[in-house]
Order: sequence, then structure tokens, then C-alpha cells
Amino acid sequence: MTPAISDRAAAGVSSGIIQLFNVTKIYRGGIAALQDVSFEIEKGDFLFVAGSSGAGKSTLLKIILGAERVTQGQLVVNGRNVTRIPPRELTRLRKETGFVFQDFKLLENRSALENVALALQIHGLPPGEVRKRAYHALRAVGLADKRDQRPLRLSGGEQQRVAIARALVNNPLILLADEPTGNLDPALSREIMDQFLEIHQRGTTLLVATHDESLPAYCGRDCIVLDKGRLVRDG
Amino acid sequence: MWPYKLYYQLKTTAQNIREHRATVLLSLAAVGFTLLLLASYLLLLSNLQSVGERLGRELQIMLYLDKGLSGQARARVEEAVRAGKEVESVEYCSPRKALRSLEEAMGEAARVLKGLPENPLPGSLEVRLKGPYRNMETIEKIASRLSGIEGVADVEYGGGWMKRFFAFIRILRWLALSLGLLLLFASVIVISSTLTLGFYSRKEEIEILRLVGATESYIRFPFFLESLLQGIGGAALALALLWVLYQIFRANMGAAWGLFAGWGQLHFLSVPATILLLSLGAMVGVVSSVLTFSRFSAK
Ligand SMILES: Nc1ncnc2c1ncn2[C@@H]1O[C@H](COP(=O)(O)OP(=O)(O)OP(=O)(O)O)[C@@H](O)[C@H]1O
Ligand SMILES: [Mg+2]
Repeated sequence: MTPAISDRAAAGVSSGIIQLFNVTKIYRGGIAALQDVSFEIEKGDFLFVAGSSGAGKSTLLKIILGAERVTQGQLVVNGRNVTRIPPRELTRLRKETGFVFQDFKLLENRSALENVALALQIHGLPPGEVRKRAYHALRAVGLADKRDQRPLRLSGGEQQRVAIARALVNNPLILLADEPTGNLDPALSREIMDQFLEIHQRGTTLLVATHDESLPAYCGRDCIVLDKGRLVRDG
Repeated sequence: MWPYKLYYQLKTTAQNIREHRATVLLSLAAVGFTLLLLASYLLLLSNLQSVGERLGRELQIMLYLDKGLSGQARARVEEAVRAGKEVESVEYCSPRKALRSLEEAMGEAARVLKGLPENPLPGSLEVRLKGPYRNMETIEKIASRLSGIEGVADVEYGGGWMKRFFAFIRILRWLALSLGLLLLFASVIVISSTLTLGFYSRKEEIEILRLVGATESYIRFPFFLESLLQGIGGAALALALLWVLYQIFRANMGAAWGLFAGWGQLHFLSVPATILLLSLGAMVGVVSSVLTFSRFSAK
């Protein structure tokens, strides 16, 4: 249950599924979004990342997905060194990782179902299977009846849930969720959290960025805190 | 696994084309007309070449013999000429026969010949070559060899204009190559621009596909296919337009061409030439997509 064992990470003896060693991320333009961040998440853990706006939460999740490059330090995800990852391996890493983007990243000209289906099609699943699984994922977030709507016809919270459904549809090994409840009311937030707890039970490792201080408590989970790119509270 | 991937990629291709069909059609038309220029040039060239070959088949070599050559000496010359493996037949034309045919050709004006003290014309040998040797390149060599035979005074073949005609065809062929490259390049630019537009309008989708773990080849294949279709489609369009133009030309100008070509027939592009043009279209498509990809590769 101790999620972040930074000294073990520093010593290099670790079995964590996500390991950061003195990671620094400096964006073009010189903004240091992460500075010398080290921590580790064990396989099967469920951990929150808190911090004020601009603290670097989204950046942290994005580098783990390989969507942003690390400027300095090392990052190992599921045995792969993401700082020097070949393209083939990166796509494998992304296929086993679910990501809920803060800005959802839904395609406007596709229905909710098609948006979720996209993540299944790239695996080459048969169309029937794709439709079935996408439908179940949408039903799990309470959007079965909105499956044919395009994102612009959905409320912010509904779009967010489509994004969650897409992240979960592949039963990912790791789930990275960036403010997954940012647009949801407390009741819906708890529903989503219950769902996260359920996939946690099934063995998925979760890292969830949030503003909402009540979520870690609700889930009974630990929380690391970022402040101006530095890790200030560990576990 | 992959058959379904291919299925989704084909669907994406169809959707891409449907979503910006106006651009695709425009680009198809542009490529079609560009390749039409190339195709019509090739057709003209191919027909001119046939004319040349046809005229070349009528080529023969005239050997003028030394004056006062004895019959025995003449037989020796004939034998030496016949010994050449390229020679099909040799026919002797005596000075008297030559004069008679000259008189016939001159008609009324032949009276001037009557005043001559003796026949000024030499005897000659008309040499026909075997089929494969009846072309400008070999005929020239053979003629110069035959002119070296003892008893041969002079040699004449074809006409200067034949030589010029073939030189002209060589120039046209060279132009075809450079013009072709230029036109193919233009087609590549057209398709590449269309593809670039497609890339921009799908930027978001491409980004999302990358983030959920799609491989570059999965993402690119639909664009590759679209590009290939435009290349081949453009070539097919060019061929179809050329066919129509060819029919119109033949209906109106067929007779004139016949006169020019010594009653040779007009012909359309051969099957290999048609396949070549379609392959060039395909190649244009492939090159365009590779060029576009290299500009849009993932960072
Ligand atoms: N693509 C980018 N280019 C340049 N700077 C960026 C980029 N993305 C983020 N930043 C900067 O990096 C810092 C951290 O941003 P980040 O999005 O990680 O914060 P955050 O903790 O997720 O904030 P929020 O809670 O508002 O989502 C900010 O100062 C931001 O301006
Ligand atoms: Mg953020």
C-alpha cells in the first residue's frame, strides 16, 4: 500500500510498473513543468496526483504515455525506458495504457460509439466485437442511449464519460486519467470512482490527476502532490 | 487480425475521399489532364515511329557499277554482294534499261536524250535487304561496305530525308523523356498537395490514433491508398480521354494521315504502353504519398 517509494526508486532496486528517476520536463519556451521528480508506482496501485493549476499534473501523465518527451532523467513504464523508446514499443505501451484526456480529445465528426470504437479498431477486432465492446463501455458510464450522438451534442460531463469509456474499453493495464471528474457532479463523480475502484480490483494500475481533494479520501487512496513542477508530498 | 484492420483502413480511405471529394475530384482531373498530355505525346510518337518503320521497310540500296564493266566482272560483283548475309535479293539493271526507264519518266522532254552520242547511264544493282536489316542504322553500314567492292562506282540508298526523319524521331523520343519527367513531377505535386490538405483536416484524428496506440503504418495506409487511387485514376482518366480524342482524330484526319504515312494505319497505344502509363500513374501516387509522409512524420 505504500505507493511511492522514492528512495527505492533512486536506489534503482524496484519492481514498480511506473518509475520516474529525477524527471525534468521543460517545454519549448522554457517553462519547467516538472522538476527533478522521482517516484514509483507498484503494479496494481491506485494513486492520485493533486496540485494547483499549472503544477504539472497533466504533464506528468503525458510523459508517462510518451505524448511528451522527458527533458532530463529516466522514466520506466512496465519495463520500458520511455526516454529511449523505439516507435514500435511506444505503440505497444499506448495500447496497454488507457488515457482520459483533460480536454477529452474526442472526434467531433464521429458518434460517441465511433469514438470509443476507434481504440478497438486499431487492434484489428472484428466489427461486431468492436460494436459490442464499445456499447458495453458506454453503458458502464451511463451513456448507452447517447451512443449515436456526436460529441458537440453532448454535455461536458457526457463528453468526459465518453473519454472515460474509450480509455477503459481495452481493459488497460494502466489507466492514466486527467481530471476525469472535472465536469461531473458529485454523484456522477462517485459513480466513476466506483468504476475505477472496480477496475483496480481487477488489477489495473491507476494514476488519476485531480483538483478534487475529496476523491482520494472517498477512494481510500494515497495522493501525491505537485507544486510548480516539484513533488512536495509523497504518498 | 489484419483483415479487419484492412477493413477499417479501407473504410477510413472511403470516408477521407467522401469528406473532401471536391478536392479529390479536382486533383484527379488535374492529374488526368497532365497525364493526357504525356499520353497523347506518346501516341503521336508511337505512330510516327510506325511510319518511319514502314518507310524503312521500303529502303533498298542501289549500287552503280563502273562504266564498261565486262559481264564477267559484273557477275563477280553480284556474287560478292550476294555473299552478305543481310542481302535478300540482287537485281541487275543494264544501262540500256536504265535509259529506257529514264525516257519514260521524262516523257516529252526525253528528246534531249536522243542527241547523246552514247548512253551516259551506268549499269546498276538493286539490292534488297532482309527484313531485320531494313533500318537506317544497318543500311548505312552495309552500304559503305558494299561500296568497297571492286567494280562498284557509287552507292545510294534511301534519301537524305529519311535520315532526317529518323533523327527527328530520336529528338522527339528524347523530348518525351524530359517532358514525361516534368509532367510526372507536376502530377506528384498535385496529389501531394491534396494529400497534405487531407492530413491537415485529419490532424486531430491522427493525433488521437497515435495516442491510443495506432502504428504509423496503420495511420498512413489510408492516405497511401488515396494517393495510389488518384495516381492510377488519373492515368485511367487520361487514357479514356485520349481514346475519345483518338477516335475523333481518326474520323477526321485518318485519310490525311494515310497519305502522310504511305497508307499506314493509325493505331492506339499498345497494351504494354497502356500498362506503362497506368504504372506511371501508380508510381506517381506512391511517390506523392512517400513525399507527404516524410513531411508529416511523427516527432
Ligand atoms: N504544450 C505546452 N507547451 C508549453 N508549455 C506548456 C505546455 N503544456 C503545459 N505547459 C505549461 O506547463 C505547466 C504545467 O502544465 P500542466 O498542464 O501540466 O498543469 P496542470 O497541473 O495539469 O494544470 P491544470 O490543473 O490547470 O490542468 C504550465 O505552466 C503550462 O503553462
Ligand atoms: Mg492539467
